[in-house]
Amino acid sequence: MNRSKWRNLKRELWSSKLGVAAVILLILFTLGAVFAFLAPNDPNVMNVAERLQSPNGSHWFGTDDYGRDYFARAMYGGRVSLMVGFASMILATGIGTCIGVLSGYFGGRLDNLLMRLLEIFLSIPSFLVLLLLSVYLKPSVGNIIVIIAFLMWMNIARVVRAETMTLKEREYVLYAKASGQGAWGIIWKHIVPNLVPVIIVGATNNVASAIMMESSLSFLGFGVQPPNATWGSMLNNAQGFIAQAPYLAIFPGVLILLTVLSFNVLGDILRVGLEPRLTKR
Amino acid sequence: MVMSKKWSTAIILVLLTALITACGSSSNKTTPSDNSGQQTETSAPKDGGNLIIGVGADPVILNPNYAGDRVSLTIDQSLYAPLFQVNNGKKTYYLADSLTASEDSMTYTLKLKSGLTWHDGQPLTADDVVFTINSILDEKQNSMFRGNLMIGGKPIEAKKIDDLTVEFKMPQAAPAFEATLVQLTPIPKHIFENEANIEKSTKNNTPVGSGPFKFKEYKTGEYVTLERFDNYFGGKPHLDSVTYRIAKDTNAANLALQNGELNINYVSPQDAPTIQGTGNFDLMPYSEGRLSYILINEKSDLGVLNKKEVRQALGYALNREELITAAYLSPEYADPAHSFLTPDTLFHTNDVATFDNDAAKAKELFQQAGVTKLRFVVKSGDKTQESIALYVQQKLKEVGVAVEIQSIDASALNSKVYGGTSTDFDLTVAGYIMGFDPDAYSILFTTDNSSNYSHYSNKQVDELFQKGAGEADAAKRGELYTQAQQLVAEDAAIYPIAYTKTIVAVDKRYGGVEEAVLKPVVIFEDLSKIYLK
Amino acid sequence: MRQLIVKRLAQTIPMLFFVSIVCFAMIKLAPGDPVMSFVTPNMHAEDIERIRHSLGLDQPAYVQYVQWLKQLLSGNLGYSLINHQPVLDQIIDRLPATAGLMACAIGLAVILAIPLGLVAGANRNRWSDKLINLVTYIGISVPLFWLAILLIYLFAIKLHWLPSMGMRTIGVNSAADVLKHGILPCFVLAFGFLAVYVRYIRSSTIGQLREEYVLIQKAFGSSRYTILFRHVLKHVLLPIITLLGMSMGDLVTGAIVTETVFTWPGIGSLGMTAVRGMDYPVLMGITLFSSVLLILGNLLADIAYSFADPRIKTMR
Repeated sequence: MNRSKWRNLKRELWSSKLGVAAVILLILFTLGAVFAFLAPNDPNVMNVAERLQSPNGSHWFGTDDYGRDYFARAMYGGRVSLMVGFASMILATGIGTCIGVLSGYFGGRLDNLLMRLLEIFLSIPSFLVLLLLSVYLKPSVGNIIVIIAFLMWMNIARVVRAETMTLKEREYVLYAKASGQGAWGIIWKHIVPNLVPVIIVGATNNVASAIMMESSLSFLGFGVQPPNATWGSMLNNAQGFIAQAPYLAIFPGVLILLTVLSFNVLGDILRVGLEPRLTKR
Repeated sequence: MVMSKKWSTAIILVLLTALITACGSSSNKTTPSDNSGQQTETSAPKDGGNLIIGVGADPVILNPNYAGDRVSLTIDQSLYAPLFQVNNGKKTYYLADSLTASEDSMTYTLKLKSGLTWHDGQPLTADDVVFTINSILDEKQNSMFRGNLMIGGKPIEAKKIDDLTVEFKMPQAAPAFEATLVQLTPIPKHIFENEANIEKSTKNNTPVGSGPFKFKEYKTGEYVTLERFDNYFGGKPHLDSVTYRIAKDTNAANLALQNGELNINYVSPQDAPTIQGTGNFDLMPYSEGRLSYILINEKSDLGVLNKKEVRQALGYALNREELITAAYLSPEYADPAHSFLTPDTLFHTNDVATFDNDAAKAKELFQQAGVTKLRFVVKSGDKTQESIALYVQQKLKEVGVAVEIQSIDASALNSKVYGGTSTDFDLTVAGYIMGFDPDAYSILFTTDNSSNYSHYSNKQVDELFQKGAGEADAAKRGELYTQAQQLVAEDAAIYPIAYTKTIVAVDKRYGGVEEAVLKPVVIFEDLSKIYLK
Repeated sequence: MRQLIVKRLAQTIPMLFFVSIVCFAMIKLAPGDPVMSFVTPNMHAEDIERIRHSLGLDQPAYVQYVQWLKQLLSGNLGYSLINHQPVLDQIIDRLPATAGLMACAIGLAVILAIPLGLVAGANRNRWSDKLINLVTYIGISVPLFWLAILLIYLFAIKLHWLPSMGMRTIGVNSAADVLKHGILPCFVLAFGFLAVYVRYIRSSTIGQLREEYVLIQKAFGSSRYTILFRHVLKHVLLPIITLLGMSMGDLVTGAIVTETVFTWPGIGSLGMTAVRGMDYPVLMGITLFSSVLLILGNLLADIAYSFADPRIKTMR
C-alpha cells in the first residue's frame, strides 16, 4: 500500500460528511464499550422496585423489566456486540485470505478443490446453518464468533482469489519467480501486501454483517448467556414490553442501526479511496 | 391449485394496493377494546359467537391415544369427551355414568351414558372403550401411554359386558387405577378399526370425536377451527365455533392479545401487568397441580451433590419467599412449596422439613464440601427460569459459590436434563404435573426409575412407594405417603419452589368461565359452557 | 450457452449430495435427542425406548443417513419425527405463505427501486441522490426485525390499522384479509431488498449514461427523462434479473426472522419448530429445498448476466 492511496483515502473521507460522522460514532461506541465499567450503575443488579422506569436522571435509558439500568446494559451489550463483530471479522478474513491466496496463486487442482468447497458452503442456506449450530453448540461468545466467521469467509476468499490471480501475472512477481524465489516468499513479500486494500474493504463490510447476524441470532433467543446481554438480546426482551415501554426497543435498535450504518458507510469510502480501479468500472 | 390461484391474485393485489392501503386504511374492526364499554350484565347465556384461543405450537396429533403435548391435549379436550374428570377429589362424569371398584381394587366396572354418539352420528358404546384400551396396549400401535396400563409388568384387561358396560380386570390390587382411567379418552372404533398404524393414519387429519365441538379445519402454522356439535350429551354448546390460533412466539402472542386478535391465552406473571393494563381481560390464576422446583443433579461430576448436606446448603442459602417474588412477581401466582406432592394430590402435606434462610450455615456446609462453583442450566427464552437462575446466582454469590448460568435451547436442555446421563450440569429448573394419585410420583423418586432425573436414591423411600401402590386401605396408604414426603424433604432431594398457578387471560366479553371449569394443561374442562355476553 | 447450463445442472447433483451430508452430520453431531423433545415425566422408560426404535433413532447415524438417502431417491423426503406427517406435504403446505410474501416483497422492491435507482444515478451527487443514498444505507443497516417491531407498535398497537400477527383473521377467508395481514411483513422485507436493488441500479445507470447511445440521443435533443426511462431503463433491466436470481436463495430461509416476528405461517416458522424439536427429516427437507433454489437462482443469475454482458463467456 503506497502513500498516494492513503492520501486518496484521507481526501475521500474528509470530503464526505457521512464518513466523518461514521468515524466519530464508531470511536464513541468503541470507547463506550471499552470503558463500560465506568457506567454509573451495575448492569446486572436487579431491583424489582424500579422495574420498567422510563428514561430519567439516574437511569438515562430507563430500566428494564428486572429493574436493571438500561444504559449500563447497553454499554456492556455493545461491548459484546462489537467484540463479536470484530473477532468474527478477523477470523473470517484470516480464513478467507488464506484460502483465496492459495487458490489464486497455485491454481489447478487445489484451486478447483477449494472453489468446490466454497460453493458447497455457499449452497447451504446460511441462516439455517446459523440456527442449527447455535442450538447445538454450547452457547458462548466464542462459539458465536466461530459460527459467524464460518459463514462469512467465502466472500473474502472469492475477492482475494481474483485479486491474487491478477497479481501473480504482474511483472515483479514474474521476475521474482524467475530469480528463483520460493512460492511462499513471493506470496508473503509480493502478493499479500498488495492484497491489503481489498482485504480492508471486505473486512469492514464483514464487521457490519457480523454485527447484524449476531443481533438476529440473539433476537431469536440463541446467543450469549444471561445475565449478560447484547443489543440483539435486549431487543428480543424488549419486544414483549413494546406497548408499555417502547424505549426498551428503541435504544438498542438505534445503536445497532448506527453501528452497522457507520461500518457500511466506511466500507464504501474505503472502497473508493483504496480501489479507485473498482469504482471506475 | 386453488391456493396458487388465490395467491397470484393476492400478489397482484398487493403490488397494486400496498401503498394505498398502507396510507389510506382507517378504521378496521380489529379493535374489540372499543366494544367493552357497551358490555352489559346478561342473565342467561346467549348462543352464537366465536372464540379464539392462543396456543403455543402446532398440535402434534389430534388423537388422544398419542397426544402428550399441551396443545394437542387442549384441542382434544374439546374434540373428545373424557369418561370422567376429577377436580379437588370430586368426580364429574362425562361419557361415563358410573365407575365402581370392587372391595379388593381388583375389578372396576364402568357404565356409559346411554344414547351417546360420535360426531359422525355413529353410536358410542362399550366397544369403543375396549378398542381404545386394546389399541394402547398393542405394542405395534406405539402409544406412549402403554406403560400406564401395565400394572406390575402385566397389562390390565378390558371386557365388554353389554353395550354400556365395561369391566376392567387388574393383574393385582390397583387402588390408583382411577387416576389412570381419568386420562383415558375413547377413540372411535369404527374409524380406526382396520388401520395398521393408527399413529400415522391420515384419519387423524379429520378427527371424529365425541366432545362439544367437532373438527372443521386445520391450517398448519395458523389455526385449528372446531364447530359446535349439536348432539353433545352435555347440552348444545353456546358458541358457534372455537379456533385455536397458533402463536409460537410469546412476544407476538402477547401483542396479539393486547390487540384483540386473541380472546384467551396463557400469560406469564411477568406479562400479567401489561395485559391487566389493557382493561379488556380478566386474569385468572388457577392451580395446575404443578410443582416448580430446582432439580439437583446427583450424578454431577462435582461428586458432592449426592450428599444431602450440600443439597440442604442450597436451601439454606435461599429465601423461598424472595425467590417466588423474583420468579413469579407476586405470591398470588405461586404458593410456597415444601412437599414434592402437590396440594391437589391425595395425602399431601406441606408440614415437612425445610432448609431456609441461613446464609452462615449454607456457607459453612458449602465450604466443608468444597463447593465453589455450580452450573445452572435454563431453557433459553424462558423468563421464569431465567429469573430463578439469576436470583440463585445472586444469593449463592453471598455464600461464596459462583453460579454459571447456561441458557440453552429447549431440545438440547431436554436431552441434557431428561436424558439421564449428563454429568456436566448441577442445577436446573424443572416442574411436573403428575395427577392426583401419589403413586404416579414413584417414577420421579424411586431409585433408577425412568423419570428420576435427579438420580435420587433412598431405599426407604423406594419401599414406601412400593407398599403404597398396593395398599387398598386409605388410612394406611396415607401413612405411607406422609412418611415418604417427610423423607424426601429431609434428604432435600429437590428444592421445591412453589405450587405454581397458571394465569389465563380471558376476554371480558366472554362468560361461563366458572361453569366451564379451569383445568390444568387443557385450560377448560368443558368449553360448551363458555358464551359470548 | 446450452453447454454451460447442462454443465452447471450436472454439477448441482453432487453439490446437493455434499450439502445433505454436511447438514446431516451437523444435526447428528448435535447433543440433543429428538425423542426427548416430547417426553413427559409421566412416560415410562419402555414406552420411550419403543418410540425411539419405531422412529429408527436407535440405529447408528450413518445407517439413518443411508435410509434417508434411499427414501429420497425414491422421491420421498421422509416423515416428521414429531407429527409423522410427510415432510414434502408440510413444505408444500407452508410454501405459498413464504413464497407469496417473498414475491410481493421482491416485486414491491423492484417497482420502487427502478425509479429511485435511475433518478439517483442520473443526478449523481446532487441532493436527490444523497437522499436516496441515505435511505439505502439505512435499508442495508437496519435490523429488519427491529423495523418490524416498531411498525407493529405504530400500526397495530397505537393506530389499530393493521393486525399484528398471522396471515388471516379467524373466520374471514378473503384475499383482502390476507393482504391486510401481509402489508407489514411485506413492507419490512421489501425495505431490505430495496436498498440492495437501488444501489445496483444506480451504479449501472451511471455506467450506462457514459455510453454512446446516450450521447447520440442527447444530440438528437431527447429529454433527460425520455433517455432515462426509455433507453437507459432497457439496459438496466437485465442486470435486475441477475439480482432476482440471487434473491431466490433467500426465498425460503430469508424470511425466518420476519416470519417469527409476525407469526407468519411459512417455511421459516416450520424450520424454527424443527430446529427446536430436532426434527431432522424436516430440517433436511427444508435445507435441500432451499439449496436447490439457491443453486438454480445463481444459475439463472449467471445466465442473465452472460446475456447482459457477453464478455463473461470469454472469462469462463
